[in-house]
Amino acid sequence: MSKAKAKAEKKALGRYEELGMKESLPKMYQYPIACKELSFILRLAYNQLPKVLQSLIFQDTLTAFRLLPQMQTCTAASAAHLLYQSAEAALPKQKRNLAITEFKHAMVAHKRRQKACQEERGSAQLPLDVLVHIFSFLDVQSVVSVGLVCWSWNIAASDNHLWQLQYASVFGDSENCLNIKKHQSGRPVEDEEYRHLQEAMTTRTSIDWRGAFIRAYIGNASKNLTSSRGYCVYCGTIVWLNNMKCSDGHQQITPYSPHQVAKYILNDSSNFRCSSDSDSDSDEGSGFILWAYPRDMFLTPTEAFN
Amino acid sequence: MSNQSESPNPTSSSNKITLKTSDNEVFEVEEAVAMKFCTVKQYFDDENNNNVTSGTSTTLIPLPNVESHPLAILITYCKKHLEIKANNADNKKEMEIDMEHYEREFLKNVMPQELTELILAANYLNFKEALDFFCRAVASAIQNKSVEYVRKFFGLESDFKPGEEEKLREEFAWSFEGVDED
Repeated sequence: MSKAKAKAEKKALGRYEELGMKESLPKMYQYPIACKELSFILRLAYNQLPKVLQSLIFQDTLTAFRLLPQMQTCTAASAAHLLYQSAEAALPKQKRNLAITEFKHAMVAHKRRQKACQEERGSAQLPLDVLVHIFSFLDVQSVVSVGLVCWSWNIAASDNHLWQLQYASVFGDSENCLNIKKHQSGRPVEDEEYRHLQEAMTTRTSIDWRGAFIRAYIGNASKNLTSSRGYCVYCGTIVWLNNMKCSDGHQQITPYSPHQVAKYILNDSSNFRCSSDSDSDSDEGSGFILWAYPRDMFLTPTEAFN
Repeated sequence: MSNQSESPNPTSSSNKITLKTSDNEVFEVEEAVAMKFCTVKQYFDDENNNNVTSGTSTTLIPLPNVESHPLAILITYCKKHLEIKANNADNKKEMEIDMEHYEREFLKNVMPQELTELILAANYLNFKEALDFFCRAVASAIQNKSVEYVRKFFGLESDFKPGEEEKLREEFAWSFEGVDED
């Protein structure tokens, strides 16, 4: 193994450790995002990462599944499901089987606990879709406010479609606004917002309507507000964002989506593709099948959870 | 939201359908009423299709997820709904006014806790008009209210860990202006 390669591997390992998956997963509000990041890492980067890091990612995946029963939200369950699908696609046979078993156990425990919880609380808990339906009659301030009642309400109030409606009602039709803006000789700020939406629509990636709403609401200044992860220039790592600052209060933040986090882990490490010496049990095909997906299709699973 | 296709003429639908709730109460309702509950309608249609050849039809429909209390209220609401519709078949505006009047009176007799039960029942029965109405009622009750008020209204408890709520509040500081007094 060449020195350069070893160095690059170490760097990738360091970058991954900085994400702090172990610390993030047990937190109810970070769990879904951490799961999404893990599943993107599995899909996009796993096959090209060094062995040590692969096993670390695998362990974190198992940890994620083990923690699922403690998370009582539907978002957690769907994020874990996404992770399970990625694990199925990316992991070599033995690890894949382990992960699948772990996931299935976790799912059973999760459902059992959810049921017990429902019985304990009586009939007071409204299902997510009904909550979203109720919230669709509210104005923006109230939607934000009900999001602070409890976690399940918070998740309902974060519903992407809900924010698309809000965007449409406050700033005009969300579909047409793009066309209207097209005709206006734009100011730079508007232009950027417009480009952002336009890009998202043409590439058919998911649009973060809440993000779009807030940006439009308070201007372009705080684009970072809605991202929960970002790259801090001062710390030189990926951090959890708190009100668009990193935990040390630095403000030089570039927001990162889970997809970008996966790319970040992979960054300049693509040159140390695992020479498949003892990699006999790995499913060589699985990684490549994935790459054959058109980009849109690959992004749809996340779309469903936004 | 108008369903012109339905003809809620009480005389034509003398057929009775029996509904059995989770607490084993039995309700006998007119077919026109029962058919507003899409879940019941589905069940009923399936049963009928299956029994076309044998000629027998069971009209007892179990509702394992609905208790008798909300169901009774829903049936009353539904009957009134159909009645108002039938009375104003040719005047849509008149009908809306009547409906609004009735709904306002209706809400006076409903406790917040009941509202949740009613929504769950209407949701399970897939009774769209009622679900919409109750959801709107809840929405107008919590519109522009403080978080504490909403929690009390629904008897919910915060499950945020210390610090989490503050964090979220900070994040949405831009929207906290002009909330109603409780």
